[in-house]
Amino acid sequence: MTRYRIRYSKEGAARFISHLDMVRTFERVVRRASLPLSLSEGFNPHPKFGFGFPLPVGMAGQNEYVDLMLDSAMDPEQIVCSLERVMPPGLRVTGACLVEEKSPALMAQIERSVYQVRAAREELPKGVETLRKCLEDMMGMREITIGRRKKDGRNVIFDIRPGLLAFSVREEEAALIIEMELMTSSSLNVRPEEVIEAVRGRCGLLNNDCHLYFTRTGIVGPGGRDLFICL
Amino acid sequence: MILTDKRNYAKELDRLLARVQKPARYAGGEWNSVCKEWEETAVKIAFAFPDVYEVGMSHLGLQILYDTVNRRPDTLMERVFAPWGDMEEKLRQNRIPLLSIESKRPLGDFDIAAFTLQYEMSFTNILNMLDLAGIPLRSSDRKSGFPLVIAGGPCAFNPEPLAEFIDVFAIGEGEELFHDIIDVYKSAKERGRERLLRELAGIQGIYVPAFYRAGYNSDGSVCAVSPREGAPARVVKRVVEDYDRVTFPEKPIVPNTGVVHDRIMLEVLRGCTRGCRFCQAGALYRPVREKSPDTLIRQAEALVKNTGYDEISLTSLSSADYSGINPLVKGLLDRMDGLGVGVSLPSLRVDAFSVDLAGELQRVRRSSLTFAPEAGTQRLRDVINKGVTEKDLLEAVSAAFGAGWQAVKLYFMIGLPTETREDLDGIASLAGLVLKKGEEMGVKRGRLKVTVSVSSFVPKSHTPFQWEPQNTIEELREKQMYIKSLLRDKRISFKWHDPGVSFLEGVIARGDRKLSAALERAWQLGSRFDGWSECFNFRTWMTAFEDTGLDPGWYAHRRYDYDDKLPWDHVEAGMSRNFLVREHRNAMEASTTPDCRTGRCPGCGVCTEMGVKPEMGGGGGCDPLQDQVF
Repeated sequence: MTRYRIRYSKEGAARFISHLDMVRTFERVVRRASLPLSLSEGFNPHPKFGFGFPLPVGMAGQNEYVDLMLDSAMDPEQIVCSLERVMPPGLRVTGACLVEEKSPALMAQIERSVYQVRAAREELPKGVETLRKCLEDMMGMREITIGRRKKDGRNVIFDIRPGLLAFSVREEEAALIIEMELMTSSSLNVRPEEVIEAVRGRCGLLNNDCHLYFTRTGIVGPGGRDLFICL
Repeated sequence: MILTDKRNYAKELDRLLARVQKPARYAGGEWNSVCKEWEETAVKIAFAFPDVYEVGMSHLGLQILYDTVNRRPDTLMERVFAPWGDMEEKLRQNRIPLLSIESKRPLGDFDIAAFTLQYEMSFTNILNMLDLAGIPLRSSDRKSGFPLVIAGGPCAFNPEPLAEFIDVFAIGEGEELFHDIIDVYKSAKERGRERLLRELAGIQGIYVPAFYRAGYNSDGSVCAVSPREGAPARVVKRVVEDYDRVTFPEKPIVPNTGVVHDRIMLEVLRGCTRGCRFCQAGALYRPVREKSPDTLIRQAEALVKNTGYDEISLTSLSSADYSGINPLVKGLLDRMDGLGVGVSLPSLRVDAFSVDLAGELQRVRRSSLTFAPEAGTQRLRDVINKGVTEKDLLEAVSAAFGAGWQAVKLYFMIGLPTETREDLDGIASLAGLVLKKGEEMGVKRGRLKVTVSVSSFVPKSHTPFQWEPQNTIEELREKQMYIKSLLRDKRISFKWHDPGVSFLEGVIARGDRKLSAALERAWQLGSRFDGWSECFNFRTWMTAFEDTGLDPGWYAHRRYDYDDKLPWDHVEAGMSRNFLVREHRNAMEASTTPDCRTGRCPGCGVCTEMGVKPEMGGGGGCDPLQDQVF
């Protein structure tokens, strides 16, 4: 068995495919591509996948990964070509890498994610400098609390500051772009919407129901280690 | 086409999607969906499914017509579904019209809006979709500039309740009929709406209600639906020329989100020869035709390659009836096994053969097996011509328990013609016998389960029971409670249908043109998704009937005479009236009629009427009588 890491992007209509449906979509994609899939044992054999940290419904992803097991070795370029021909609109395969078969699950290797939040510039009436100042102040704080609703329905106060690693803002033509690097591990996970909520709460700069376009631009391991390194 | 301003609806919709449940319902972008160049395509058709995406995408007819139409270079077909309540609210708030899935264009921009009528309780959704598209509801209010609104599917066989809203009904199979509609549309659309409708009315299988006048007797019953302006007196359903060779979608759309039937649907045969007297599908889809095994294996291989699905469901009204089912299944399994692709049957006949077949296919005993004896006593099963005996059922469940299934579901109907207490007792005693069989077969204690699911008889047009009255809601409820009281064993669970829904199904199924007013009123009062228990509101419907001065019970509980004019008499499904009368009389005497697969043609008249023959591509045979039999 050989293990390959597939790098893909998820944009446009495909942003609305939920994580559960992504698993199903990939099963169908690899079957259409006729890759020599390694199937699980048992009566109901299934292709073996290892997904990364789920992308929330509606969020774009530029460099997402999924690991898959093949029965025989293949040229990674060939894998990319075969998959590209059968991806639904909005999903694109941008690379494939042979990785160590016995290395830990992809999910366990992820520590951080980089996000980009895009808004129209008019959503920020006081200008980008005031926002930048606000962000710097926030990065200087020891604690940034937000309300978080737990699965059991309880509301708790949660400190996102330890999960907030980097934060920047810039302008690009008519758009305002906020970039942030956040912890996304099983022990500490901060969502970009929560950071935006904190910015709103503290600086009150962004218009209230403005449209924000979220993209996850990258996923990295501890210390920012690249997870797409080929053997 | 309605001229719409140049708003970027795709972008506006994209923003809304972040705020609705299940946005994948509206997002599109599925594998094998077809997005053609709008400006360069002569005819633009929207296939409008009056229910949510997950239901519509499980409908094989959608995939068939989408493929058939999109194969034509001069025509495009896109899909439109009914938005769920949260989305409807957002669309209305933001003044966004109902949009197609593919190009996100307003439904009103299409040349033709083609609705499918699968279920009476989706009719208010049709009105809602037209309204959301800014299209006037009534056909007579739609001048040129609006799409031609057409409708087909099983409920089009009694088109009268929707006659005020639909321009053109397409009766029967659509694969060839749709081409005829498009050809006429192209040649006549420039000559005005009236001319277009007139030319369409000349196609076999097309019913243009505006060319028919409905007349009523003093008691409100229909005395005639008479044609004007040269429209045909009888509209005869369409049947495809050569079923084995008719186009079948080998590249169906693969949804990005879980839908009800999320697998390959390979249609192995069309029609059914069994002749259950309550069954409308059995009457509408005759004659029975099977695809050849070669065709099926070729289609199955193409479908697996083009979709990536891991399951092929052999669909039809009764797939175990396929003449060469054993060699077909073996041939499919031989080819699919190495690919990790399974084969399944959607429904089972009540016999041990079917169970053995299901056992071969389903190596993991995932769920329970379902059987439909339909009635509790042999007498009543003979009345409905359900050719199943207690012995058949017990053999079938023995085979099921023996093969490792631990749960069995039994489907019955209550309120059938001639039903007595004894028949209701029979349901409970059959359930008890099945349970006992499970014990005997050594099913583990705590695992053995029998589910009794009881639906209510709804008399349907074009069936031998079309003249029969429906039980009242009170009668149905009392019968449900009676059966419940008989099923004391904890291992038997009991399920029943809302009698209020069954009542409305009965009203609409046998309704006439006057009902249009009540449908529109119910929609105005907020009725939507009436087939969904969380949305259905009985009171709203009763108010709608009151406001429009109609008595719904008159439609549902009425017994028609053989001589009465029926609202759907001008729509011909193929079975002769004489055959239906004879079948009704046989039913009253509990006398059965053989399946035409046995080689003894019962003379239903479909083959002679339609100039067709059963096609047993799977290797079976049956010869229709060439003359009408009385």
